[in-house]
Amino acid sequence: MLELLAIAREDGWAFIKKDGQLILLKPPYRDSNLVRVCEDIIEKAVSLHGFEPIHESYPGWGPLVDFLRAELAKVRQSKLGILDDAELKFELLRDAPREILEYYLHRTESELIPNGEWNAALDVLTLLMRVDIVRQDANLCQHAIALLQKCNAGLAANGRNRAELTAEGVVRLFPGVAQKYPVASVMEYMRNVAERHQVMPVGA
Amino acid sequence: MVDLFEIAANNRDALEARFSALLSSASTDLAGTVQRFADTVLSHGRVSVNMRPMSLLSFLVLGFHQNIYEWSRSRGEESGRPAEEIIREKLGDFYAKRVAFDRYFDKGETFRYGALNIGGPGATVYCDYCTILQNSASDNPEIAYLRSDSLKTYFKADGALDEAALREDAAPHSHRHVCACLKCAPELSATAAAGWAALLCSNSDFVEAVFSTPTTPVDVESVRIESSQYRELFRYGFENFREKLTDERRNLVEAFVLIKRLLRENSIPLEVA
Repeated sequence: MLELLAIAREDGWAFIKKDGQLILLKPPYRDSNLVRVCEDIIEKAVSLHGFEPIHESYPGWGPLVDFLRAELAKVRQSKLGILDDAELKFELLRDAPREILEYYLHRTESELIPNGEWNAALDVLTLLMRVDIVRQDANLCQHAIALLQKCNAGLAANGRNRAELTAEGVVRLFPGVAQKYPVASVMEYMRNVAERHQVMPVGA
Repeated sequence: MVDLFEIAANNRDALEARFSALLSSASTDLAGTVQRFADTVLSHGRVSVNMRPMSLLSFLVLGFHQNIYEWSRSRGEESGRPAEEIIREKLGDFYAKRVAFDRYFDKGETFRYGALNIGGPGATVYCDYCTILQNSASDNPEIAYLRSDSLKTYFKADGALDEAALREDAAPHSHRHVCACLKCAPELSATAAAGWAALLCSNSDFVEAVFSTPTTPVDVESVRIESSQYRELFRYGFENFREKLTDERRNLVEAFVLIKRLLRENSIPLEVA
């Protein structure tokens, strides 16, 4: 049984007693964010740091975290949720130090591009190209451009792979369709879609 | 009524005498270390106030930070409920001790609390952003430094306030280094200079600063965040390019971004500690 003793609702922080031990939990909710603290900390937390005393019991971490997440959702509706995703991404990086920008370039190069996560890689790189520090630093800028070129090459190779679709490939990838329709017709239809029709995302 | 700030101001001579006694009784090595620590506190010592993301955002947006009495009065005006009832509800089991300390003193309901800080992110167990006030904001007669958390240190077993102990410890801004040295001297010989900031101010102990002047963003010298948390926020930012963040991660990143924006607008540097 977990006893919730104090909460800072807007930030999702909570002091919890479990087996006689006082624990601080803060978001994101995961094991490494459970911190054992001294008993007397709760007095200061409530007296001076805006924690609200609360005495509620929960049968386990799941229901407790659900409660804290519901409180955070209220904050999201009332006070956050101001920035759209593009703005959030740019604002995070616009004045980031060089080491962070290098970290983003490194992860793009070592993870996104090898994994073929082209949309994510292009998003990171085009955004970085808008950041003043990157634009003003020849090394960072050249690194970003080189990675954009890798993305370009990767996307082109990806396109070629699609164009080289074979009858065996159609049978292997779409066995049900290949049983019902002539494989040559399916291939012609696929080429037609690939060449003439854009993919249009619909729905939420 | 007892005036805490007057007690601190009148304590200068006694504190200097205790400091001289400390130096003269210490070995030459320790005396040198204590003096260097004193010099560091005098030159780098600032009052810090830790805030969680939403509190810091409110402070930067509204331009002020309310203590419990101001907060309850404004809530009372909005709701029509008595402010005292709101304070009782807000503090719960800790109401009696908090108000007993504050109301023991003249102007006690104007008290604000911080910690003496010479570096580092402060007491992050309460709040993760550490707001560092400018020296000029604290260099006034309405501040007193106490050797530790007032609620833990200055109450006797019978629940009465230990005024004698408080009279011995209270230091004005000009003598904050003496307060720090008298407290930390026993640990200084075993602590490298790199560890002084954590020795002076940590989750478990700190020199408490009690002051009455309201703080505004103009009074803020910098805001500090722990390097591990700073890097983690950027890790979430990177993951946001791959897939939608969970609401709790997005809240953290968005609050951080808004805080950065407001700090930039107020010309307040963000420091990574």
